[in-house]
Formats: sequence, C-alpha cells, structure tokens
Amino acid sequence: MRAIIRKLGNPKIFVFTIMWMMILVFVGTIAQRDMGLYYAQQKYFSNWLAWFGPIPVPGGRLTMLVMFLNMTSLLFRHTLWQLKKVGIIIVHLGALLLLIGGGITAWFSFEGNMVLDEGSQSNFIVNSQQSELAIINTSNNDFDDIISLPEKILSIGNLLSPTELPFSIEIIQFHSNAEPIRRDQPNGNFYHGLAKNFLLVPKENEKEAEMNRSGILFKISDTNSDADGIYSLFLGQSIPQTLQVKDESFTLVLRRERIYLPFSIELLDFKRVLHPGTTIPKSFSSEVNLIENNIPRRVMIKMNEPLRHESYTFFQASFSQSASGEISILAVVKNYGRLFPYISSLIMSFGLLIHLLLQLPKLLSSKEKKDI
Amino acid sequence: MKKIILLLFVFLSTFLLFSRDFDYRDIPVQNGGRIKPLDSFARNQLLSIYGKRSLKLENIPAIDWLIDLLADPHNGFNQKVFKLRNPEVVQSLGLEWDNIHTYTYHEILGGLENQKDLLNQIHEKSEDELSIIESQLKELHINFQKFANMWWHLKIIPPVSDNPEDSWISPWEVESEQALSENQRNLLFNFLEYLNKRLQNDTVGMGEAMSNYYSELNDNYSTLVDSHRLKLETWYNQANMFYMSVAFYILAFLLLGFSWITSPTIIRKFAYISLIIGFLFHGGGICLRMYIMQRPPVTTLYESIIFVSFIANLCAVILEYIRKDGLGIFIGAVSGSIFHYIGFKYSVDGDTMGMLVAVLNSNFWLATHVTTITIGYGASLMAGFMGHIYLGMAILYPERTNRLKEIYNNTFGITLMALFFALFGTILGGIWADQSWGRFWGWDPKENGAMLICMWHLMMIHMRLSGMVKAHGFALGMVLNNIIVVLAWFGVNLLSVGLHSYGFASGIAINLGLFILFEFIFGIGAYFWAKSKRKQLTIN
Repeated sequence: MRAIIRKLGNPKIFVFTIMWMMILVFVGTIAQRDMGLYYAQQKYFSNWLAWFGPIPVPGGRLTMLVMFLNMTSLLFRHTLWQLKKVGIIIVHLGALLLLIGGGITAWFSFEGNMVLDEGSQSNFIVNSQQSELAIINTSNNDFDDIISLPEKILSIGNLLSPTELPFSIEIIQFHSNAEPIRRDQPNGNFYHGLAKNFLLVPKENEKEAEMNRSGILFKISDTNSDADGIYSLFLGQSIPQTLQVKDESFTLVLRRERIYLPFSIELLDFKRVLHPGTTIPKSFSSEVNLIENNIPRRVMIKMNEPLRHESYTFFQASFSQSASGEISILAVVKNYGRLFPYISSLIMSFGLLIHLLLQLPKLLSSKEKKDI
Repeated sequence: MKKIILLLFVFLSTFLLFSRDFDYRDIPVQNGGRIKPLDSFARNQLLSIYGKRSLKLENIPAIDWLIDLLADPHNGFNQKVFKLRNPEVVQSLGLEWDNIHTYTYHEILGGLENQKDLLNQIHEKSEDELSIIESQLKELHINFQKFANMWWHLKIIPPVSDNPEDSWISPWEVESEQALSENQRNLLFNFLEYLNKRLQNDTVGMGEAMSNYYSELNDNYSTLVDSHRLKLETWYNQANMFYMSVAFYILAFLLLGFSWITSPTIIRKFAYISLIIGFLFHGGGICLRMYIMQRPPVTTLYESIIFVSFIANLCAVILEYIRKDGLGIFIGAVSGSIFHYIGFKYSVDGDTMGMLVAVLNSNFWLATHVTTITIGYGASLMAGFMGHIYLGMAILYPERTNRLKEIYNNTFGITLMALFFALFGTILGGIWADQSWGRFWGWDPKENGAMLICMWHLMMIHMRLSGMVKAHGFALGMVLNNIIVVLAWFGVNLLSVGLHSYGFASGIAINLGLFILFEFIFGIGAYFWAKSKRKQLTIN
C-alpha cells in the first residue's frame, strides 16, 4: 500500500497530467470557435472521456481526478513534512481544496435563467440547455396538475406510463435540434396535431446551445379512445397540443426544463444607462420584488451586484426589447461549492507567499564567484 | 539610494513647472462618454481623418487645426486633411494620386458625389461582407461627414442640471437663444467671442474672452468639470511621456553597449540612471492616465501593453540593483523599447482613453484582478527573457558555470514570482466571474489562456523538481513560455468568442505567428547548440 502511494505521489505524474490538461485546454479553446462554448465544454472538460476523432482520450474530469489522487498521495510522503517546505505544503492543500470545490460544483451546481417582462412575475428558473415534456392536466378549474418528463428519459424507445396519467407514452424520436417541415400530404388518421401535417427534420446543434429548438415524436396508447396515436411537438410551438381522455383534458408542451422556486420574483423596472452621448452601456439593473409567503421585498439587482437568497443567486445577465416593454434576463445559479475557490485561493496565495519569501533572497542574490 | 530620491525630486518638480493658466486647449467637450479637453477631441478627430495627431506638412497642432476650422470653415475646407492610403480609393473618387495623397474637403465631396449609389450599397452591407476598398470608402465617408458636421459633434454646452449622466449639447442643436439658460448662453458666447477675436488676430481680445469663459466655467460648472484635470490631460497629450521613456531606454542600451567596449563601471552606472529615468517617465505616464481617467492602470489592451512593459522594467531595475552587472539594464532597455514600439502601433488605432462597457465598469475588480494578471504576464515575459539570456550565455560562454548557475537561479526566482501573480490573478478573475455571472469557471478562452500560463509554470517547476529538466531545459521551457503568454494575451482576442472580446485586434495575427515561429526556432535551436557546446567543453 505504501509503495502504491509512493508511486502515485510522484511529481512526474503531475507533470504528465498537467501536460495533458494543457493539450485539452488548448484544443478545447480552439474548438469553441466552431462548436460554441457549451458543446466544447461538454466534450472536452466536463467529461470523463473525450474523443479526438475516433480515438478515446482522458477528458477533463478524469485528468483532474488523477491530479487529485496524485496530490493527495503526495501528502503522505514523509520527505515533504519539513519546516522549510511549509509553504509548499500549504499551496498543495489549497490546490486540493480548489479541486474538491470544482468537483462539488460539477456534480451539484445548477444554472438557469429567469426571463421577466416589466410588471410580470415568475417562480421558476429555465434551464436553457435542456428540454422537458410537460403534461398539464387542466381538468380542474382551480389549479393545474403538471407532470414533467426531463430530457434525460426522453430517449428513443422508452415507454413511459406515470401512474398519474390515464395513458402511456412511447418515445419514437427525440432531437435536441430540429425543424418542422410541412408534408406534401397529410398523414393518416393515426397521426394527430402537428404530426399530421409536419415532419420533424433533425439539425446539427447550434453554436449556442440556447438557440436549439428540440423536437419530439411519440406514441400515446391505452386511452381506449380516438386519442391513441402519434403526436409530435417542438420547442416554441405556437399552437398547444391538447388531449381529451374520458372526462380529463390535458395540454402537452415541449418546453425548456423548469425548476420551481419556493418564492417568486417580480420585475418592477429594468434600467439601462449609457455613457452620456454614446451607445456604450454603462450599467444594467433590475428593480425587483422578492415575494415570499405573499410578502414582497424590494431588491436592486445590478451588474456585479447579484441578489443572493436561499442558496440561489440572481445575476443581471442580459436584456431584450419587446413590443410591450423591456425584458430582463437574470441568470440564476445554485451552487454549494462556491465558497471553495475563495478559501483555497487565500490558502494558496498565502502558501506561495511564504515559499517566495523563503526562497527569493537565495535565488536573486549574486554571490559572485569569479569565473576562471 | 540618495540618488534615486534626488531623481524622484527632479521628476516631480518638472510637473510643478508646468502648472499654467486655463487656455483654449482645455475647453471641456463631451465626447466618447466623458468630458475631455478640446485638445484631446481635436487630436482624435485629426487622427481618424488625417492619420496623425498633428498636420505634418504645415506643422500645425491638432487643436489649432480644429479651432481654425471652426472659426473659418471657408479656409478650413480648402485645407488638405483627408489622407487616403489606397490608390484604388483615390481612383474610384476620380482624384489624382500624388506623393502626399492628401485631399481637401471639396475634392472629396466631388468624388463622393459621383459614388452615391456605391456608397448607399456599402452602407447596407454588414461589416464582414465588405471588401478592403469598400470598408475604406465607408470609413472615408463617415470621416467626411464628421468633418463637414464638426460643429454638430462639438458638444461644448453643459446640461442645465448637475447630473454627470446627462448629455451635453452642441451649438448646432440649440434651437434658439431662449432655449439656453443664462449660464449656458454666457459660456457659448465667450467661446464664440474667442473664435471671433482669433479670426481678427486680436490677441488681447482672445485672452479676455478666454478668461471670461474660464470664470463662467469655474463659477457655474465646477461640479461637472474639473478644470485641473482638463489641464493635466492637455499637458499629458503634449508631454508624450512614453516617447521620452523609450528615448531613455534606447540611451541606456547605447550606454551599456559603450560600457562593454570601453571602461565598464562608470558608463554602466550612467546607463542604469538612464534606464531609471526612462522607467520614471513610464510610470509617470501611467499615473497620469490613472488620474485623468480615475481608473486603475489596466482597462484596455493598449494599457495592458504599457503596464506589462512597466512591470518587466520594474523587474529589470530590481535585478540590476541586486546584480550590478548590466544584465538588468540590457533586459529592461530591450524589452521596454519593444513594448513601447508595440504600444505606439496600437495608439494609432484611435482614442486610447475610451469608456468601458458595463461588465468591465467596476474599479474594484479592474484594480485587483486585471492588475494582478497583467503583472503575471509581465513577470512571465521577464522570465522568458531570462531564458533567452541563459541560452545565449550558454552558447557564448559555456565555461562560466557559476555565472550561468546564477542566471538560472534568477530565472527560477522570477518564474516563481510570475506563477504567484498569474495564479492569484486567475483565481481573482474566477471570483469576479462568480460575483457577476455566478460561475467561478466557465472555460472562456481568456480564462483558459490565463490558466495555460499557470499550468505551464507549474509544469516547468515540477519538471525541475523531479529532475526531468536541468538548467538548459528549464531555460528552453521559459523561452517557450513566451509563446503561451502572447497566445493568452492577444491570441484569444483573435478567436472572438467569449466574454473577453474587449480588445479585438485585427491584423495582429501575422505578427503573432511570426513571433511564435521565431521563439520556437530560437528556443529549440539555442537549446541544442548550447548542449553541444557543453559537450565540447567536457570533451576538451
């Protein structure tokens, strides 16, 4: 066991992993030009295996895991624990903490957007990279019953029959980016709604993942009525698909994945200030009401000044103009690892500083021994 | 030490000598989102039309050109100020291509009238569809309109309110005299009076108008306008601190070369003093810019060049102070001159004191993250420079092992320092990103670039630790490190993706490629040459 730890803690392993990491970062950065930031990140960095053409290579996650193991075993080396190496020990501890934080963020963090018209409010965040199939039971006048099926389980061939629904759904096709094209002739009676007149043609993913419009084709059965058949939906469809099963009515939508919050946000006013006499933006800000238990609280969200509430953080990300007024787009993040970089950077800088102070006088001196 | 204090004193006292009365160059104008003196406004206008900051042939400063144009448009319109660099553009305007290829308003007007349809078409196209000649024509057309409507661009009337966010107006925008408040009217009247007297060559009248203007400004607009800062900016424009700085760097280099040929110590000391004076001008220029803009030292790509060079020279000055053998002078003078040269190239692109977009508009983060990371770039390049010196010395004097060992140690020390600033700066950048976009790390090209520098340093340090490289190999690693630094610094702007595309630089791709090729060939070549030299030495 000790021998393994010894081998694993070898700085040569670090040299090779960091070399590999540099190659990954370089390739992954160049690739962003063609495939966009999101997909390059998925492919090279947030992955255990990356593919260079047909060859599988270690991805960013695997590389960082090796780095983590390498550094951890280093700490078990007896030669490290000396007073003159105290700076080095501290730096490595800080770096370990940074990697741990990265791991936590990668596993548990969540990012999304909240899009708000002036005067409107919302209690959910939208994940702009993922879709969901939402089945809304509208039979009750007082409330809607929503069942949402996330993109993960919408894979081809899956048969889904949630107990709350009087029917089952079989996924025939799912495309993360698709385009509806009108058929020359309407399909047979077994096809309903969009699927009757349109064909979903898959497209290559857009550079910016949030520009994708996903599409789905699925079969509904076990309704014991005419409603059985093949249906099709795509993101941003203007006419909703409705379904009548016995005395219950449903609306089916393919939409961006939603995560509901225990509170809501109302946009009172969005402000954009320009540098005087120019078109260069000076600042963006949203004045909002944070409504919890029906009690509103007024908050100002500005660039570089987010709103933090219940482990969610709201940032002023973007804005757009619509016919009815301005639309503010807030980025929302839930991250349990966010304090790690703060702490580890303090530790690392402290360690490096100690090491520098111990080493620099020796390294920069010029005890001139005359060359002969 | 006393010498340095004395130098500082002389340097500061020169500033005081230049305190002077308010004059026509300092008249405040709102342009590009901030209040600047008329002098800066005139320089930027002339720069975009004529390509230089003063009329070379007649030796007229930009400010006098502008004032004369405003006072006497008839004469101004006959002045040759439109510089066209492309013979094709000249041909398409139906003009004669001559040696100076500079044309008057009337000549350009005639030419553009003939090309009306083409211009309409050009303005409808998007920027990246334009051919070279089309985009030059478009630029000329925009400049021409700016020139013809100079009075409209001249926003010299402050708003009625005290709000610095409010737009100023130009005399052309004034609908009637009654629309102005009494203060505004007085200010404008005195300005026009000045132009009037200038036309009549009435020096006394000019002085009177200007002093009335100033007292009006001082009495009623002191909250909007800081006249001291205006004067300082005018002075900064004229002083050309960075030209002075590069002159002293070159002088230091020449003196150092001279000291190598003849008796060393005393001339080398002069070289060192010259380096320090250059360095003080350099730092003084940066401080002035910070004061004028009320911003931290680095906010644009241009400023990052100036500041990186400043940091590299700081390292050089300290190195020379410790070593006293001319190495620091050599490095400082050469790197300082090269960087200043690149900076001058950049400053021709236009106004170097622009306003910042909303995300960057945060003095705290600019001061911490950007400054630290730029120091990291500077120290990294310095370590790279030391790598060159080491390999060069190893080829020329392979027998001086002690000397080589010292340089190796120095290089390693600077690398550690560079790592500290690069790493700290990168993490601070992550924290900024966490504060404003909610993620610490987003794999954005600029972030990746900064991380590549850190990783390269970490790799070299661990290679040295595990014995994978010795001195020669480490020096090679530091030479190649320069490639990583320039890629992170400029290269990512060429990718034009991500959040950091603030300093997009067109046309630097070729220079960047040449630099990378040179460093690569130099590094590898010098490494093997130095190795073979050492082998010869051991055989003998």
